[in-house]
Amino acid sequence: MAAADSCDGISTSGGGWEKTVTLVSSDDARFEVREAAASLSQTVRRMIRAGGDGGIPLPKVDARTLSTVLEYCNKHAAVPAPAPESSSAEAAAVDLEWFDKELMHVDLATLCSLIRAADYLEVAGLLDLTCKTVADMIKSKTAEEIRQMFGIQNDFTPEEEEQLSRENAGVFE
Amino acid sequence: MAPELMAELGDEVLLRIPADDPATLVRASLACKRWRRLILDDPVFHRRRRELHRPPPPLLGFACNLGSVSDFVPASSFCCRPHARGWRALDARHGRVLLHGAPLQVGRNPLDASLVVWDPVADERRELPKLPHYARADNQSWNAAVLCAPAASGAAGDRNRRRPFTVVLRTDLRSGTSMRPPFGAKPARWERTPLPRCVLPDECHYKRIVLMSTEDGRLGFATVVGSNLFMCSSTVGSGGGAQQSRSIELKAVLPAAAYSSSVEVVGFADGARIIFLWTVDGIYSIDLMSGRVKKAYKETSVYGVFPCVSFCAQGDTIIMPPIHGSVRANRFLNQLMLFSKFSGICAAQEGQKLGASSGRQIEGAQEEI
Repeated sequence: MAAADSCDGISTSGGGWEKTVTLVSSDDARFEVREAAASLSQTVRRMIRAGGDGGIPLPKVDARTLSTVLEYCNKHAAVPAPAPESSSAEAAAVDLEWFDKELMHVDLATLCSLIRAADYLEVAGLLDLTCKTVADMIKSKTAEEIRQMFGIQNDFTPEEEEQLSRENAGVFE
Repeated sequence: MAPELMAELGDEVLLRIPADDPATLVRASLACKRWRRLILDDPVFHRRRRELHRPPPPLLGFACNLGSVSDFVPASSFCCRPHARGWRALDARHGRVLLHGAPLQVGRNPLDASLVVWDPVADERRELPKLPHYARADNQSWNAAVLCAPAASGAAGDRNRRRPFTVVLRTDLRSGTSMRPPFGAKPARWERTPLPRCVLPDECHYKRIVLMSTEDGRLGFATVVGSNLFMCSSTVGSGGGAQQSRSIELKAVLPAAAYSSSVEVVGFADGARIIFLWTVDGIYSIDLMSGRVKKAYKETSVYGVFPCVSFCAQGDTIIMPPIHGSVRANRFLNQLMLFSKFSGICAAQEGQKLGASSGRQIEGAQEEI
C-alpha cells in the first residue's frame, strides 16, 4: 500500500513540520504518519512513549486495513484552526461527518477487519463508528438473517427454538 | 464474517444497538446461546450499555403561567397539581419548581410576596426568606433560578428529593445573590455571589430565544426563524464565536392547525431535551431525541413554560429563565444564564461566550449591593 497516501495529512503547524512516526503493518508495509494522528491509537501512543527505532510493528493489522485506519486518524487529528467564523467550524463538522459516512461505505468483511484493528489499536472513535455501522446493519433483520450475516451457528435445540419463537412472537416480524 | 470476531467483538456491536430499538436487541439475542446469555444476563454488558445510552431523565411536567394563575401540567402520573392562584412560576429544574407571589390575603402587604420552592412529587413547599428590599418593589428587574447539587450517593429514588437546593437571584442584571437552604432545614439568608457572564449573538436581538444545552453539554439557544426552529450552539473551547446549528422545519412537524407564522419557542427541558413551542393551537412539545411531537397544553394564553425534569445528570447546563413582565426593548436581555458552581453540574466554562463576539455582553455581579 502506498505509504505516501497516508502521509497526505502532514501539515505545518506552529511554523514547522510536524513530528512523524513510522508504522509497520503485518505484511511489512511502512506508513509514515504524523505523531498527532498516530497518537489517536492508544496502543501506538504507548509504543511511541516506550521508544525504539525502525518503526512501530503492528503485527495484527494488514496494510489495507491500516491505511484505512490511518486515513481516519489523519482526518480526525487535523489541527482545528481557531475558527472566528461560525460557518467554518460548522463546515468542518459537516465535512467530518461526511468523511465518516464515506469511510463506512465498505463491505461487511472490511468493516470487521476495521473493528478488529480499531479494537487492537484502541482508536475509540473508530471503534464506535464501525460498531455503530454494523449495529445499524442488524436493524430490522430477523434472528436467522443476523446469523447468516455474522456466520453464527444456531446452537439452540429445535425445542428451545420453538419455545423462544413462542415467547418472542412479536419481534420476529 | 469470521466467527472469531463474534467471540471477541460481537459484544461491541451489540452494545451499540440504539437504546430506542429494543426489538433488534431481542432478535439478536435469539441468534445463539452466547448472545442470549450476554444480552439477557451479563451484568457487565448491561452496565456498559447503560453508560453508552444514558437514558434522559424523565420529564415530570411543566409549570406555566396564565395571567395570575400558575398551573402545573403533569407528564407523569405521580405528579400532583398545585392550586396556585396568585403564584407565578419563575423557574423549574431538577425536580423543583420556583414560585413567586402569595395568595392575596387581607392584611398582607403584596410587596412582601415571597419565593417558594415546591417539590411537585412530594408536594412539599419551602418558603424562602423575604426578598432583598431592592427586589421587592420592582418585579421587572430581577429573576431567579432554582437548582440542585448532584447527589453524592444514596438510593436512586431518593436522591432527587432530599438533595439540597440553591436559589439564585439576579437583580437588575448586575448583581446576584444566592442562598443554599437544604431542603427541610432552616433556610440561610441571601448572600452576594459573583455570577458568570455570557455573550449572546446578534440573532438574539429582538427575538424570542430560549437558552438550551446541547447533547454534549455545551451552551446553545433555540429560536424560530421564518418557518424553521433553529438551534445553535457554541463550539468547545474556542472562546466563542463558532456555532453549529440544527434546524427543524416546523411546517413538516406541526399539525396544520398549529402551524402559523407566529410560532415561538417558550421552553426547553434541560436533560430531557424537549423543546416547547407556543402555537395558535396551544403548547406543543418536540422531543429532540426521538423527534416526537405532542400537544402538551391546550391553552394559548400562556406566557411562560418551565419544564421540570426529575433529576440532573452530570453535564447539565444551568440556564436562567426569562424575566417575566419585562418591558425592555431588547428581549434578549431577559434571558440570562447561570452555570452552577456545584461540582459535576458545571458543563460550560465560566465566561464562555455564546455566539458572535459582537453580541451584547451581560456582566456578572461584582459590585457591592
